[in-house]
Amino acid sequence: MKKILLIEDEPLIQKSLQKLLEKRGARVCVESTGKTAIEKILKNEYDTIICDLMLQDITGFDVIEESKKRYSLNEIAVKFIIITAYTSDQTLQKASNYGCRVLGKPFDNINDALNIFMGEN
Amino acid sequence: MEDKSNPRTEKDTRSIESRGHDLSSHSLLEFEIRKFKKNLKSNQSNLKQNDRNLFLNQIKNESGFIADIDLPLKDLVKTLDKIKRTSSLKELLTTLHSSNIFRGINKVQYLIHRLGSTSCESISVDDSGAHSKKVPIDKFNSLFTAVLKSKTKLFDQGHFLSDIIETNGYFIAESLRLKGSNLIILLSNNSFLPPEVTEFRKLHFISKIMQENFEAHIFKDSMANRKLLAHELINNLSLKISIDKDSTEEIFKQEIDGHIITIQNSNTDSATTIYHHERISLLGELLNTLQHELSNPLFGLNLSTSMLLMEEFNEDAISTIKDISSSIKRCEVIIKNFSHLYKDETTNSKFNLISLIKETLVLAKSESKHILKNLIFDDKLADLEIVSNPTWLSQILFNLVINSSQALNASSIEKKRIDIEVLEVDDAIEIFIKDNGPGIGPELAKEIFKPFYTTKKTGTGLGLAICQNLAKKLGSKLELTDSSNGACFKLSIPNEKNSTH
Repeated sequence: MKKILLIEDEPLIQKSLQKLLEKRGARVCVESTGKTAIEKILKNEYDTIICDLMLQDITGFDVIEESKKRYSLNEIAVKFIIITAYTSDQTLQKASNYGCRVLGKPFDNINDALNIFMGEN
Repeated sequence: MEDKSNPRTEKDTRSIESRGHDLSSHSLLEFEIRKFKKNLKSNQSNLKQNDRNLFLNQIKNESGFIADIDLPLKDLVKTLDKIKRTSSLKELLTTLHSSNIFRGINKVQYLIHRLGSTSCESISVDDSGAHSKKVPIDKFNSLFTAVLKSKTKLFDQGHFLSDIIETNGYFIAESLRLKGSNLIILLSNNSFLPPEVTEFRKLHFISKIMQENFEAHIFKDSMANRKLLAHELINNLSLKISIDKDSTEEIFKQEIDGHIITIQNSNTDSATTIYHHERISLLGELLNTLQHELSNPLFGLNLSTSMLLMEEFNEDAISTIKDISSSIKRCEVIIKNFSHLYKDETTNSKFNLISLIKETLVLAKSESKHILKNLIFDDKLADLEIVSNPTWLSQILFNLVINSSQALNASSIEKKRIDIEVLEVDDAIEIFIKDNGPGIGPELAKEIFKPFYTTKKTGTGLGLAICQNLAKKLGSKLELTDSSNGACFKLSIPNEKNSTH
C-alpha cells in the first residue's frame, strides 16, 4: 500500500484530497503545519510527500530543505510533489532546482493529478 | 541737502571710512587685473609656457619623479592636460592608467568613501578598463587606518586579509583625506616581489596630482550619484511620476547618463497618470489578495465536489453537485481573469481581442446590469489575436462602458443598450462603443477629454482623460464620433497582423 504524506493547511483541500487518494487505495497522513510535517518526515517512511508551498508557519521549500537531513537530493526529487497557487516563474524555477514536480492549484484535471500522486503515470 | 545730512554725521564718517577702505582694496584688485591682462596680452603662449614650467618645476622639486621614470616632459604635460579635461572619475582613472606614468604598474585600485554615504566605491583599473563596485564601509575604514598608520606603505596581500583588495601579491598604498571624501590608492604589479623605489615615487606623484583633480571629480560623481538615487526613488514610488521624453511642455529637464528626465509642466497628463497608477496599483493589490485568499477555499470546494461525484447519489443530488461544481469553476475563471486584467504592466503581449472584450464586459456588469449589451463582430475576427497591452486596452473599454451605463442609468430611456462593434480596416482594428443614451452635445464634446471635467456629482473628471492617455500609450486613437442617437466612441488600434517583425 502506498504511503502518502499530505502537507496542506486548507481544511477542505486536506479532507477531500485525503478521501480521493484513499479511494485510490493509498494510506494518507495529513499535516497542516510545516514543523509537524518535518517531524513526521524525519521519523516515518513515505512513498510520496505532497507539499503545499504556503503553509502557516514555514514554506514548503523549508520543509524540503529540512528533509535533506534524511533524504538525498535524488530521493527528494522523486518523493516530493509541490502543489501551489503561486505558479510564478520564480517559484517554478526554485522547484525545478530541487527536481520536484509542481502542480498549480486549482488542478487542470483532478484525475491526472491523482494519477501523478499515486505514481500511476 | 543740508537738512538731510545733518542728523547723521556719525554714520557718514563711518561710511566714508569704509568707503575709503573699499576704494583702496578695489584699486589693489584692479591693479592685479591690469597686471594680469598686460601679461596675457604681451604673450599668451609665453604665459602658458611659464605656467607649465612652473608646474613642472614644482613636481620636480617635490618628488624627483621625472628623472626617475624618464618621462618626456611633453608627454607629462599632455597627460596632465588630458586629465584636466576628463568629465568623470572613471574617465580620469582610465586616462591616467593609459598614460606613461603608469608604465610598469599592472593594476591600480581606488577606494573612495564619500563622507556621509553608507557605502564606498571601489574602482579598479587595469588594461581591460575600469571596473567599479560597492564595498562595505567597515572594511574600507580598517584598510584606511592600516594604510594611514603604516610607515613603509608596503603591504603583502597575503598577510593583509581583506577581501576588498583586488590586487595580488605586494602592493603599495596611500590613504588620503580629501575634501568631503576619503581615498585609498593601491598600486600593484600583481607580482609577488616587492615593488621598486620608483614605484613608491610614482605613488607619491600620483597622490599629489590626484588630490586637486580627484576632489572635483568626486564631487561631480557624488552629485550624479545623488541624482541617480533620486531617480531610483522616483521609480520606486508607489505613486508613479510620468517621465515623458517627447514632451514639449517641460519645466524641468535633467540629463542622467544619457536619459533625459523631464517633469512636465502640464498638470493634465501627470495628474491623470498619477491618478490612474494609484487606482491600478490599489486595485491590483486588492485583486491579488482576493485571488490568493479565495483560490484555496475554491479549490477545496472543487475537490470536494469531485469527491462527492464519485459517490452514489440520486439524480437530483448529482445534478445539484454538478451545478455547484460549474459555479465554482466560473468563480475560479473570473478571479483569474480579474487578476490578469489589473496587472500594472507596461509590456505588450499577444491576446485574443474578442475574449478580452467579453471579460471586460463581465467586469462592468454591476454598473450595466439592466442594459442590453451587444458585441458585434465578424466571425473571422473571433480568433483575432493582436499585440498590445491588454490591461490598458481593457481599462479603456471598461471606462467607456461604465460611462455609457451611467449615462443610460441616469436617463429615462427605455430599452437601454450598448453596442460594441469590432471592425477590421486596412491596418487597424476599430472598436465602437455606442449607446442609445442622451448623447454628448457639441459644446460638451470639446470638454470631455479634459482632465477634471465632469458632469457627474461624484465624478473625478479623469475617466476619459485617462482613457485618452492610455490610448496614446497604445499608439491608438480614441475619439468621439458622430452618432445619430446617443454617444459613440471610436478606438482605433494599430493591427500589425501582416508584419514580419
